Amino acid sequence: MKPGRFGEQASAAVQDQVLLRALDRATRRQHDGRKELLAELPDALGMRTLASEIRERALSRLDVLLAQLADNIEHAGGSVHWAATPEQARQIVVDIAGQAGAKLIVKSKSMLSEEIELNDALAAAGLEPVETDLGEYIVQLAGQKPSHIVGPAVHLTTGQIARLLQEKLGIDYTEDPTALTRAARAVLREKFRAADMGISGVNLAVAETGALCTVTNEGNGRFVTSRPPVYVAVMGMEKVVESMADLAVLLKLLARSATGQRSTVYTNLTMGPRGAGETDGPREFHLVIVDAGRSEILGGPFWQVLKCIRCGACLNACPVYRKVGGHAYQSVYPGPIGKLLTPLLDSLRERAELPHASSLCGACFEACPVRIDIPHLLIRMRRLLEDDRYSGHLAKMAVRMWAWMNTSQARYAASSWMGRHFLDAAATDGWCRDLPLLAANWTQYRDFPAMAETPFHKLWNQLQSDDRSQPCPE
Amino acid sequence: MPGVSRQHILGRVRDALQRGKAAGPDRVDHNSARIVADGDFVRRFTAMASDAGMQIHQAADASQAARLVADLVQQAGAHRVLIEPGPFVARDSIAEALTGGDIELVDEPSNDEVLFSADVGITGVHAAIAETGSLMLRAGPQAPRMISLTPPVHVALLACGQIVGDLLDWASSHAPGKQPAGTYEILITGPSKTADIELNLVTGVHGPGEVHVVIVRD
Repeated sequence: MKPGRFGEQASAAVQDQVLLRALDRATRRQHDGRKELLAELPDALGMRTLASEIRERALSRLDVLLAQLADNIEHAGGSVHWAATPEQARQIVVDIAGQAGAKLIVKSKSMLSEEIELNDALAAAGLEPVETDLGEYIVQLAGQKPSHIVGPAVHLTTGQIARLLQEKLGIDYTEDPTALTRAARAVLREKFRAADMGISGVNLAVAETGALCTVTNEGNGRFVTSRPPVYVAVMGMEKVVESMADLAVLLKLLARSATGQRSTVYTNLTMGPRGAGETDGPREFHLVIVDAGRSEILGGPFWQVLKCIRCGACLNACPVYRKVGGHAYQSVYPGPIGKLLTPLLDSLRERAELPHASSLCGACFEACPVRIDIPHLLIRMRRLLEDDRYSGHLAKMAVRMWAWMNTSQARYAASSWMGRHFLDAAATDGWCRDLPLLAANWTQYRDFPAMAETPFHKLWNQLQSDDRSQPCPE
Repeated sequence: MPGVSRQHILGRVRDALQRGKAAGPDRVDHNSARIVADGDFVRRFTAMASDAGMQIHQAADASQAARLVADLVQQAGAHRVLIEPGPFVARDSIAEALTGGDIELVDEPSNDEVLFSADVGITGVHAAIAETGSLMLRAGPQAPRMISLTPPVHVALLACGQIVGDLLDWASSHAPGKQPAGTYEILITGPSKTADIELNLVTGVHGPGEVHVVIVRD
């Protein structure tokens, strides 16, 4: 994936009226749905805190849980593979397909498989991977990338999808969503029936039972895990929890946070290949556990991003994502969580613009079901990057000047007196819209407030000496 | 196989945990996440399952359930009906009610053609969850995975006593020492759905577009 200029991509995206309308509708609906269903819970904050603890506890014992999970899956007759890098993960899956003689592969939505660019590797090996989530299938037909963790095709309108299916599937042009869905269903049914292998991601894995949990609304996840003779699950190593009770708590929050449902339609638990006497289910069962940078994150200052359960709530809540959509981030993981994950998984230096593309409003933290403090982690990441950028002599001198100016009351008062006169002259209706020199960097994109008539320290002294004033509440 | 050994990856994780700050509480209290503790489970299940888009029917006994199922099969205009080998509540009465007449009742599809062209699939359930209105099915030799998936209409038979309160109760049924869960389990909460085309709700994407639940009192 090419590191992109988020600024340029975002500027182009906000000009696209069609995209804006599609995004606005989708994110608003899911955001409202989430809020409505969380309000039903007796103690939503308490449950989110519990979910956060569950994820933190699991990560703090990740080595133990991964070993337990692998033992349980092998005990049930499955195979467990370990990949340190994306290349290894791709090669493991290609080799499994090769040994099984598989050609047609049905896939249910997996962010990890996007991250490791699995489809390209499968196609290069002469295999035919078919995405079966409707949104993901549409995006694959269009030759695009998903633009949302949960709704891969939120950026496309019905008209665009209608033209695409007309061209690719040879159906009559229709804007009826039901007819479009039926057409895709018919094609994908045949793929399910004929598939040699199924690949899915893993929403969460349970160490104590060796269960891999995948959730889908459409039912494609059921076909993918149950129908083909060979099933391969690819999982980022952070996705494991300890117990079924942990899973139950996270499931309560996942669907509510993702799509505003109490439960996803299908919660699928696979625990191994088909058992003795069973007439369906995969004969071969593989789990590929992928590191690809995660152990590095776990040992560093941003380990909490690994708590993420990929619900997409922070995308829907984010004022930036809502306007620019997923593609502007040029990453598999867009939105607030992507601003952390992408630099960490990809390259901190090359994607340094991402942690800066936030107003730090905190809506993402407010929405996160596992309470990842995204704004603070963004600030931490900025600081890490700035340490590099502003280590020159000039920068150090500027900071020393600033400190000198502001550590004496007299100097501070003098500088604010000057600032007030300067800004007042430039302001209209309390806002400076067009400042010269260095300050133009700011006012090019946003207004700067004029300074208050009476500075705070004067106001404070007045209040202190005013008999009628009340003391500040403790 | 390419890739690296389990020991190599687990070693990396252990190193990361040692040098990093990842920490969590010693224990967590799941009970604070409980939504349904007691009360009328049938009522809560019915409300939640209906809200998710499933159609709920009540039957006083097995013979009434069989009549209900026969009506549903007729309404679906079904020719070919798959029935789980079982056993499940009211299965014998249902099989009897659907035998004779022009319906082909299949309990073990002999080939894909039969499996993929069936009009209705009839199954029992392992449990149901009042909190979310979910059906829980467990695969086994007598309960194949596909019967509740390939036909456009799924009819599930549920005995009153099979309903548990909360997802946490479902979780605790898997606790070590309990009956092993087998190789596959599914929670079903509604008909197959998508909102991928401009958020328009469409049912029956890959799975059944209609799910009927017959709750048998007896």
